[in-house]
Amino acid sequence: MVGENGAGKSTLMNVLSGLYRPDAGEVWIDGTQVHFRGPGDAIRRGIGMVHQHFMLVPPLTVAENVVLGREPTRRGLLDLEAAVDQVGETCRRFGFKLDPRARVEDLSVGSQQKVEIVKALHRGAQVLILDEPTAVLTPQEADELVAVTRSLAADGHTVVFISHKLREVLSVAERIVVLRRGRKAAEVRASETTAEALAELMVGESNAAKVASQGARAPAGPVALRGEAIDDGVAVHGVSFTVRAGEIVGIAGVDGNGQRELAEILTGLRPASGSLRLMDTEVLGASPGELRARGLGHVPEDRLLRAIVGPMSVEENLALGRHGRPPFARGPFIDFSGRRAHAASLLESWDVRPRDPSQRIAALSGGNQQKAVLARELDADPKVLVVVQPTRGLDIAAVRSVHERLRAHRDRGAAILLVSLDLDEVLALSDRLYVIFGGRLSVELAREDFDERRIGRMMLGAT
Amino acid sequence: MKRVFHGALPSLLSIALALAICFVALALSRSDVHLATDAYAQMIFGGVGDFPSFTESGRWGVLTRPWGESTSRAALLLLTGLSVAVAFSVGLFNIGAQGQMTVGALLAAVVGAHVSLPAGIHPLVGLLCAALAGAAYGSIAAVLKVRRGVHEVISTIMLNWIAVNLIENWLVTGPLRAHSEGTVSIAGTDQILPTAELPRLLSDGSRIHLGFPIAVLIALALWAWLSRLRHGFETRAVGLGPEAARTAGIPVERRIYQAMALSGALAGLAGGVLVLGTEFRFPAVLGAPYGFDGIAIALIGQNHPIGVAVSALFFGILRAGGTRMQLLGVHKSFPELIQGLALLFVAARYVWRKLLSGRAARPSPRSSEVQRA
Amino acid sequence: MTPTRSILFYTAAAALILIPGCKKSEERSASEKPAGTVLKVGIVTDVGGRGDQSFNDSALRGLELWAAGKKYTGTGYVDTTPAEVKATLPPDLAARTPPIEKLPGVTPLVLQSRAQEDYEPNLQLLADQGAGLIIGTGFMLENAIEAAAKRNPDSKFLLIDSPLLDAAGKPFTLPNVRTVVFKEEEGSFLVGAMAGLVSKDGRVGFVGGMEIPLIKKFEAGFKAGVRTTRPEATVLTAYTGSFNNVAAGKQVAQDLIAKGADVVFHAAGSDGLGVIQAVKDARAAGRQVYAIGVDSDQSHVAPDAVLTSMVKRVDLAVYETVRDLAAGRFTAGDAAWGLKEGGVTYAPVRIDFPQRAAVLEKVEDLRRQIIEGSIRVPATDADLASFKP
Repeated sequence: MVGENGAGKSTLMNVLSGLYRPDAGEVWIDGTQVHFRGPGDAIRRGIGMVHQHFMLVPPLTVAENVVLGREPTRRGLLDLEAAVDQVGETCRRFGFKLDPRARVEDLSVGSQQKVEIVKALHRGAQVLILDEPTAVLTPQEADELVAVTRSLAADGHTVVFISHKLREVLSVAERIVVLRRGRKAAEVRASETTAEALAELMVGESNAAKVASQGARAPAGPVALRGEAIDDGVAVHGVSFTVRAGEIVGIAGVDGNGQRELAEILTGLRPASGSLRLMDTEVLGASPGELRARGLGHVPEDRLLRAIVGPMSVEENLALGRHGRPPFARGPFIDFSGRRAHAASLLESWDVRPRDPSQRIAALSGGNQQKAVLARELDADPKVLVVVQPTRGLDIAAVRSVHERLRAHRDRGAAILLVSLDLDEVLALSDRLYVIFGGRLSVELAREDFDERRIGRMMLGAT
Repeated sequence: MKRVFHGALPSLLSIALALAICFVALALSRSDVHLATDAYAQMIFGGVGDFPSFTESGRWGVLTRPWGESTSRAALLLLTGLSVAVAFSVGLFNIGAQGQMTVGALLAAVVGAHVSLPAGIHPLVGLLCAALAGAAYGSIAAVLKVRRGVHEVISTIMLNWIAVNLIENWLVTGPLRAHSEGTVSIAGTDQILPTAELPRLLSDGSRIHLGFPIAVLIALALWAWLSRLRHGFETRAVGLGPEAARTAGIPVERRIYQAMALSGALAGLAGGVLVLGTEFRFPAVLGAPYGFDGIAIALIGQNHPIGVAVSALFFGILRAGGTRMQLLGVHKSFPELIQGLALLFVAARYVWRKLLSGRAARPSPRSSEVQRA
Repeated sequence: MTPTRSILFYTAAAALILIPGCKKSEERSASEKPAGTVLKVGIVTDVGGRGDQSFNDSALRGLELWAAGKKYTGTGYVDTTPAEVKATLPPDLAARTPPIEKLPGVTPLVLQSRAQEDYEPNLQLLADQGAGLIIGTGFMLENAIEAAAKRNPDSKFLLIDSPLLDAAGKPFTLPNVRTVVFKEEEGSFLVGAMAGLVSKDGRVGFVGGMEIPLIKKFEAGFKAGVRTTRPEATVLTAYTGSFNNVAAGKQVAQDLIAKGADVVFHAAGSDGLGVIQAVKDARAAGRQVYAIGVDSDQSHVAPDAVLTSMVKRVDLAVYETVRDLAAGRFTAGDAAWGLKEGGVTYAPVRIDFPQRAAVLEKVEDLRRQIIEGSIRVPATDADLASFKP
């Protein structure tokens, strides 16, 4: 199932898995109409849902997580050995390579997702719903997941695979349902369509052209951000780089190679040794507040944790970080009318929906939250911007819009450091790029040297 | 206005339900509805003024004295409630208001009794010292939290015991015990000097003293701070999303220190108001456990300074008036029972929300619009 | 009906029940105003409150049972017959003249205090209710009585266990306040004398609550008594530091018993219940030990283990003050009640031990000597040091 953010995919799946009750309409399983009064009913009828955000207890083991809620007992006491055996058996049956005794918190994201799938299968799910399962996975993990999904389907399971990565859907699915604005826009056979056709159906426009890659129009200016031998002794080792005014520099790499830690160091969230010069001032060790005051913007990777304060309103979130300056404040006071007006204009120009500045930001869809975050960071007009995974979870139209705005910001003379796990994105946006592997940066690559296959090898450690 | 009412509704309904349940329990236990209505009437007379007796006798005292009793209790509940609410705004659960209040009360008693100052500034200096002592005591928990990661619930509970044992069980019965002649015993520390007493607003007509107006002004100031000032915005952001606040450049640790010190200062101030307002010494045992009541008051007031003020005033009236229920043979703990039940219902406010919104977990408004369209 | 509406409905229904109820209550209170002279006597307990089996209960007995002839049932009062009241009196009081009997028109108003800061408003409330006499039980109410008495010069006050004290701790008087303190040292002297005679090994124990002058009086009197009847005996002394910690009392008493004390006297409030418990346990383990209770006759706590109790006649002080007021003879001022005034004594000895009669005779002889003034009982450590039997 494909559709833009807010097209209603998750809502529909929540109806199918018993979380929401439909106002109208019917749900049928194997020729029987069913009425779910809660998720328990759905599970009993063989529906297993794997949410985008995992519902696992990190300190517990794989086996404990899988049997949670229906733990095997012996004479009234928890029988964890039996749980390990049962879960091991389930894993073997469906071909998952998981150690039932491993702690979930020690597993990679991809493995955690497998635990979720095993959990659903262990409860006898015949219908599996995977809600944007590849959004958090590395390309290799995503490939593995596609294989797993295929084998489950071959085994007789029904799988609903939600995504907006069109190629993935084309490779995994037999039939594709396109949702648009809460309605079914189309249903096509995968073998009879193309990514372009799907994209058109999703956005409802015929101009869903492929995201174009455009280089810098003007030659880059002076160095705005320079790192020298940055090292935190754990994940980042002797990293040196430069970003000039008026260019986008990408950092490509497979997840877990130190890019997250590097971004944290650059934005004052993580201590490190070495040197970091922002507009020719040494700033390594400065607090996030000082860095912001010196013109550094930051779009963090973990949106819910780092970028927004969920219980606060959209308008308050749009002020966050520059809430002490006009138009958000007047002296020590909050300027409510100034803040409201500015927020409203940002929502308008960034097409954040709904257009209600007083709405709690947690109530917005992920894509709209991300738009709000980018709106805030770019609106502050930072001279240097560190952007991590800016389009994760966004639909095609939103991705295009974000890319356009990042380019426009560069063209206004800003220096942008882009950290992304999505190689296509790095290639599309960057004027130069580095590859990060094992906490070390490769030599820089200029745009004319961009070679997808070579970069792919570098990301895996080959030189 | 409508939103304010809607936000306060769970608390209001909880209180109404608690009152109703206690009413029914009282009527059933004596199989006498009139006794229960009488008791509730007495509670109102004792809390807001004995109007029948006033119209009968024309004595102002019966009208004004209850004000003194309810406001002096409300002042203490309000300050400790605000203490809890302020800590909560930065995401900390301060169980330690009782200990901070004890420390503050002791300092107020010492400054009041052993420092000579002119009448105008003596009480203010006493209150200031109480607040500073409370702030210092509250900061211990903040330092432990930020530097060592000790959970504030654990550390403040322990600090409560330290304060109680150090002050009530040692200092007040030992080195700081009141001087007296021969075999006579005096409970508590030395009486404070008359200059240190908080001024009575109606002189002898009522015990209503400056403490309540001070507490209300503080509540208003806190409300303005949290909702109107940049600094308060940052504090709330730290409470609601510490990592996002840090990323946005807000000095998270500093805000935690400041909020916890302010929280302790408010609790310490409550101790100072108790000593300088009505007790005039650190008594043998420091009054009712206002520090713990403050948790209930804050929760019922939903951690909003104005809500806390309303809830403190209400329960101050209830408690002052509740004493009069004893005239009808109702047990002395009845007001606490009502408060406890109200808290229980507020804690279950998720259930209220469910009842009030008609249906639980609906899809987001936008998608339901789409479905209807 | 939607949930919102149903809540509103029930609220309205509750209001409808309440409104007629209020109206009724006015009629009722009007019709209930009794004819004849009514003497309202108020009493404010300290935080111990009703049911402490000690100080407060004793004061309530003096007012409710003896003066008003009423028994408290938990929800209200029931009348008693004179014979019922008489049955509750210990022999010496039953024989007293004028006899203790119901005083006409006395209506008790009892307010229990939940906290220190309730004392003053509670006293004031009673004054506003028109109480002719207002009683404060315990020295903790001293400040509150002072404030309330000054503000209500037309009401009479009785303060038990402490004189009025000014800011410097010096006693003073007010024209509408009577205070009664007890010579606890005299009663303690007698139980000390008894302990000295009963003890087998010449080791007895004293458990105090907080180490304050009031409790020091008990200790000094007790030690002097022991020294009089058993000069070579040792008194082991310990303080619990509190009045409301049963466990601490038990722990301390166990310690004293382990060190060889075979009679243990306590003056430690609720901690004393732990002392009696410890003695009871030791007896169950075969030790021949006794406890001596305090304030009220605590024999019922452990009939086998409690030798006697040092009784403070708070009830009598309350009763006599009410009677004085009813007869128009109320006088202000400080009174100190000792053995002579019947303010302190020891409770009837209900258990048997070797030479019981001789022991009791010796103790009664000492009582006479104190009343005559030939023995002056020390009340402080300093006096005790110079005390010669």
